[in-house]
Amino acid sequence: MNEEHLTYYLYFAAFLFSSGVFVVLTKRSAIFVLIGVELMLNGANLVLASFSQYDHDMKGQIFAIFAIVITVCEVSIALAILLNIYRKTRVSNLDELREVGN
Amino acid sequence: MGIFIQILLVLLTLLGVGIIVYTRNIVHAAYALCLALVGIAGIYVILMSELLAVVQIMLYAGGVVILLAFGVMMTNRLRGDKVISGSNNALIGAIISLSLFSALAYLISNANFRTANIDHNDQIREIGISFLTEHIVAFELIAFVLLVALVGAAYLAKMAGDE
Amino acid sequence: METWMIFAMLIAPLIGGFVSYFGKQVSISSIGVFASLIIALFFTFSGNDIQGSIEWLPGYKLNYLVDQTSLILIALVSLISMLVHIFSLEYMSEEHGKRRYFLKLGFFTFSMIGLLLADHLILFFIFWELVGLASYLLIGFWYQKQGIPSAARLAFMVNRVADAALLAGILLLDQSSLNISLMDGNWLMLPSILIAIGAFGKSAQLPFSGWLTKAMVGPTPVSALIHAATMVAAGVYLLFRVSPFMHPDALMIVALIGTLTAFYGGICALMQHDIKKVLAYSTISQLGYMVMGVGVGAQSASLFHLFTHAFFKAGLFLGAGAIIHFMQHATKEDPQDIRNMGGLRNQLPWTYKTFLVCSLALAGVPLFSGFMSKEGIIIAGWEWASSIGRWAYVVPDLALITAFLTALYVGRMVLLVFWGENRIQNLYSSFKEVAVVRTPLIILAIGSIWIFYNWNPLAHTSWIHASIGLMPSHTDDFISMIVTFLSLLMAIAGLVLAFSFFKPGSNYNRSYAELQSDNKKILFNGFFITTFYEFFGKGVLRLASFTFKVDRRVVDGAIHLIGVGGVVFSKIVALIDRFIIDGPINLVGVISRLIGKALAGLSSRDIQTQLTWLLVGIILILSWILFF
Repeated sequence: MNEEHLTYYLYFAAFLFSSGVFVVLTKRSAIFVLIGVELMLNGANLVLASFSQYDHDMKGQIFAIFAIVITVCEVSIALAILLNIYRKTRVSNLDELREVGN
Repeated sequence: MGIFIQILLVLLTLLGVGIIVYTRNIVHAAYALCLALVGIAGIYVILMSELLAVVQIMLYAGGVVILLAFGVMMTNRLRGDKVISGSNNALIGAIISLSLFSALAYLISNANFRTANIDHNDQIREIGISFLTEHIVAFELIAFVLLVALVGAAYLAKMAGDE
Repeated sequence: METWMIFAMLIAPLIGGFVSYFGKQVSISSIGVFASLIIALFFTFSGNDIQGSIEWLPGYKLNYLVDQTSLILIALVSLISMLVHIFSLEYMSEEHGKRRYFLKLGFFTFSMIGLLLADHLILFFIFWELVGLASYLLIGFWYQKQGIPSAARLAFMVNRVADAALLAGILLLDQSSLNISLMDGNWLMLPSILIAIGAFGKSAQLPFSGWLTKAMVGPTPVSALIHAATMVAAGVYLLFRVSPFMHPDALMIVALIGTLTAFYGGICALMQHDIKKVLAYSTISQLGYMVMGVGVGAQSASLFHLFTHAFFKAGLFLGAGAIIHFMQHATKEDPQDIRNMGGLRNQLPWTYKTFLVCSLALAGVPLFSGFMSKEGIIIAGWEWASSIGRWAYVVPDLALITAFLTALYVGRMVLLVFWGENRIQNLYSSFKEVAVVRTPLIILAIGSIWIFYNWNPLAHTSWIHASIGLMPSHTDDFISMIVTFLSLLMAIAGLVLAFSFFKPGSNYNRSYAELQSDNKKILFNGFFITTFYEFFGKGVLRLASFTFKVDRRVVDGAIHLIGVGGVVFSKIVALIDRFIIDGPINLVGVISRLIGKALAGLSSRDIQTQLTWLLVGIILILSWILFF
């Protein structure tokens, strides 16, 4: 592994993150937005992992594992909330949800 | 051989991401996310983070994606609609994400990273030890948070089911 | 413990009044007063000064002081108040509002004891006003009768004028030390005069003395308690307390006013037909003596005279009450008019005896208390005059003449009321001198005998001087001897003249019933002093209406002019404002509204739009870091 490889992975991670941003910004469904968030988080995790290979303590990996666990929590709760909202209002699109919330 | 596998994995991931960006069907998007996550897990292996790769496959590909699929089923499917998501202001989203990407790429290309070759033997053992020594507080906390989140999610879902 | 006892002493009469107001027995009220008397006597014999304070505001304490002077006076007040309560049980027994009456009496006694306890001038002033209020309420007791409310109001308002002066005087003093016992140094002229005016008002000195004769419309026991023995003496008490600090010139004015008042009262009392008015003018005259005594520096003699006077004057008033009650039951004529009386000593033997004793004390005959105390004041006046000079002898001279007048009017009153024949035929009354009437009269008469004050009937000092620690300092035995002789002469001369004039069978006595009271006579009307008040009041009213007119015509006109001018001016300014100043401001407003509309989308759309703008911001920050 050398510096160029690292750079490629960083480009790749930036691409993942930007794609996640695009999905979050454009898709109307809440679940789609959640998928976009996952992509962004994966981009960030990839950065952590790629730096971690030059680290004795592997702090990046450990941090990434924590991040994944937190993500799991987030997704499970977000889905539960979505389910709840959907049962109550029959809405799963974010822009409609705004009107319902009011 | 190694470089080939790397390119293959990157392409796999890019395929998944491309499907997610392109498609309007949420179920398809969930499966494409699974594809991308498996690709990223492979990249983790190449990056010598085997434990991360295992966690990625178990939690993400196994847990999150199935959760998402269930979520899709339990919302839109209940109405009998097609699981289609419209999209809005795609142009602005594209401009923003492209400019974000170019900004990050510019940042990366201008950065000068010093690299060193480090031998990671018995990685999982080391990580396990550091979990239970150096990061014990964070470890216990994250376990607790996970527990609370699961219970909370179950409770929220039950509240929805009661109706 | 002592604090509680003092508080109990203060509050007991009020509680008695309330109990008698709400309870069945009005006689309970005298028990409250009796409790005060017992406590006061206990403190007198225990002999300690007690000083304490009430915190009125944080850091502002109102002191009270219980020394021998106030204790003696509290004992006096509660004793006379108790006797008056007992007397009133009979006197007011047929009255409809007797519960109200006893409540008011209790309230008055409470206020009076509070006044005597007060050391701080503000506290003193509070109780001073309370006794004034109690006096007003009791004067107006028969408020349904014609003329009584207005008389009560006059008495009250004249007092208010003087009290305003007193308050002004208190406020002019050094506010850091208003406690009398802690004061030192001399006051300036103005506060001294103002406080003296307050005392003049309460003690019915000239020019405020008119209210006391008006106050005689109240029930007679009230006159005995308030308008003879206690409340009117409050002014003397105030002067007694503050005279060490008063400006010497102010003290001189006090002495002159007192002397003039004494003379005025004596000469007016000669011409009255109403028995209560005789006594009222006599009270004014005696108060004049006391004020004069303070003015000439004989505070202890004044206090002594206050004490003795309280006994014999209360006795006289209560005796007059008995007479009036008797006359009320006997005839439809005016029960207070001496012309309808005469020869009452057969019908009212006890009243006659006690009245005679008190009269002799008032007239200043040896062997009775009045002689001793009056003599002390006149001696002090003489010494004061000899230290000042020729013109100052007017004070002791007038005092001696007043002593003569006193003997004269006292003799006239006793002779016309009790001696000779009944002027009204077939005088029969259901009124009997029952025990509750007799007892107070006898106690008060006994209290007017010399032996209670000094074994020597010609002395002019007493245990009162000793207990308050102010023995008169006599340098000249000659003066005291000559004054003793002269006052004795004056008293005897007055009595002899009265006897020769008004003895039974004399021309005057026989034709007295037909004598017309002349409304224009200057002495009968007390030098028209109440008319002067009315004139003064009307003058003030006229002045007020005049200034009101001036106010409306001139001041209001000017204000209206200014107002109209202001409105015109502001209209012009408004035009300028609208077209010149508002224009640019509105322009700015329109521009900012446009910008605001353009920017409102940033926050008002859905969450994805907001996220978009968030990311735009992040990208801008990132580019700024990267490229600059």
